[in-house]
Amino acid sequence: MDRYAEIAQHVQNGYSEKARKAVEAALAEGCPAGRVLKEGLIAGMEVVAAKFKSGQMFLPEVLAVAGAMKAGMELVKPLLVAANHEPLGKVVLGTVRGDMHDIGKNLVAIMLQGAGFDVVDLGTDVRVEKFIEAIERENPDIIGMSALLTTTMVHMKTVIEVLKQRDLRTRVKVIVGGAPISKNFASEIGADGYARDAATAVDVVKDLLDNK
Amino acid sequence: MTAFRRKKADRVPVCPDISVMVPAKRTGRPFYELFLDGSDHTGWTSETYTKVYVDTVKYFGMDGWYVYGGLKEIRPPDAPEFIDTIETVQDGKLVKRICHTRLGDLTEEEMFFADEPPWKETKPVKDLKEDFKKLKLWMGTGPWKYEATFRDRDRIGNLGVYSPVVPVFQDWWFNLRHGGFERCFMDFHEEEEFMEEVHELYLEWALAYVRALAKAHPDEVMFGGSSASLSISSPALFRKYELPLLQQAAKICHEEGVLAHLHVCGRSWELVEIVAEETDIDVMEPMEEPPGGNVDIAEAKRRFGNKLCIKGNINTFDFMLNATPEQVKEKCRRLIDAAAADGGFVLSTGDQCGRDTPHENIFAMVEVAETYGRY
Repeated sequence: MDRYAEIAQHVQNGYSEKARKAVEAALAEGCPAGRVLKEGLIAGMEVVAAKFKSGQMFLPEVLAVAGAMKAGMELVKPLLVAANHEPLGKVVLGTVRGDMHDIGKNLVAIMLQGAGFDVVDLGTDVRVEKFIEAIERENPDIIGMSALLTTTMVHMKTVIEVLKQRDLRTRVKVIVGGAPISKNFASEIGADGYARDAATAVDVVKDLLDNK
Repeated sequence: MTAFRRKKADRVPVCPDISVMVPAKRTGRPFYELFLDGSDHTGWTSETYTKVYVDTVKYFGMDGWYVYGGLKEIRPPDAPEFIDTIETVQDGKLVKRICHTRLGDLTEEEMFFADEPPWKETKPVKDLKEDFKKLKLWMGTGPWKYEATFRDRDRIGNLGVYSPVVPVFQDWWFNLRHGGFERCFMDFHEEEEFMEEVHELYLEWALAYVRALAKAHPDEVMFGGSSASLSISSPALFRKYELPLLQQAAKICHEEGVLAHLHVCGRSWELVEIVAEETDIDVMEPMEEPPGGNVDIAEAKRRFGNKLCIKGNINTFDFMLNATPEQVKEKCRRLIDAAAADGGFVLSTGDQCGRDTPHENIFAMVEVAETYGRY
């Protein structure tokens, strides 16, 4: 097994220490950081995303994988920054106002980071102004909003309306998700995309950026 | 109870999961008033809420499922207790709880809103190993003692099933551990050996409580397993942490003629298989349909109808909220066709109908059970 495959395997297994050591060894042997990221860490995460999507893997296992991915990324990221390596895109995420549930949103962040996106996580109970400030500050390609409660999902529409009022709607694409969210609801409120799970969110984001 | 025993009653029982938002909204009062009534209620929520629930069962003419009771623990005189203070804040009431132990304080904060469910902002176990020592002082290490009878047993009376709740391990830990599900799962992953010790204490306590409950003869004991849902957890964790309790607890219940009931919302099909094949649990719900869950009720009935009473599975957060009463009736008729033959089926929804669920849709379920659901 080559180094890249070894890294990918450790990521898939959620072995943080082994992933970190394999990345360290790869870099010491002169493997380019970009290839370590793409053929090692991201390749491992892609397998995990596919297994999660098809129901063969579960959230606790994905969280362990995220730990392994993070352990490897900590070594690779400074090198990528130094080499001006461009992420696939930038996504701002948040759970909407009044909603403290974050596990789905965090999972989307894990999957997007694992696929090579730069993610800014605003956390939970995110009010409209905080989304607006993040758009002005971070200049993301996409904002993603999450809600678990039927009583809080309505705030997604409010955010989209304020984006229109502030002439920001054309600057960013909007995706929404969460247990009570449906494709119809996403269309009704004027979102650009809907993802039923975290792995699908990556596909939706890639599609939106391809068509931007 | 007839259906819970997998037998045929005069009609299909109908028990949508309206708790807790539908009854709370019906009162027109701020929700925190209902939950923070200062009563000495034994069980979760409050005495006021339990009365509101029973009133709502009468209002809809449905079969009740009273999961709010329990047995009062007889604490040793020197046992540390949590002391509450309530602050009025912008969005409602913030309850700060503090428990002084000889090793230091445990603290938690819970926010009670006017029109949303309560939310724990901080939980007692922040530093895993240090706070667990304090938690053991608060819980005690047994033997645990309880009063012999339920104080609120008659509140639901013959309007429904009296079903005190015992949390499964992942629910119990999620309610105690600061940092949410991710922190809990990282505990299971990174502190596997230490969590064995935590699980051991939980299991001793849970089985002691189940024994006490069974001796007091409720209709059934419900094991609350929302956090074991496969929407957030995994079959591996269920086998490791929940199966030992469920296998032993069901036997303890049956020795006293009490039924054992497991609640696992969200995605649960893989767990239905494990529970039916490897435990003596009698009732499982809410066996949710997509998109919230992944249970095909007809398949559940075909494969496990001789082992489990099935309760569920109508989606709450989209269908019950947005469907017309006619659509609800149509779905109920299909469910009855799929799963009600020979009894052992309760017409119900997935987990918790939302606050704004139209009452007409709940009345529609009741109407179908009383007409189309006649045996």
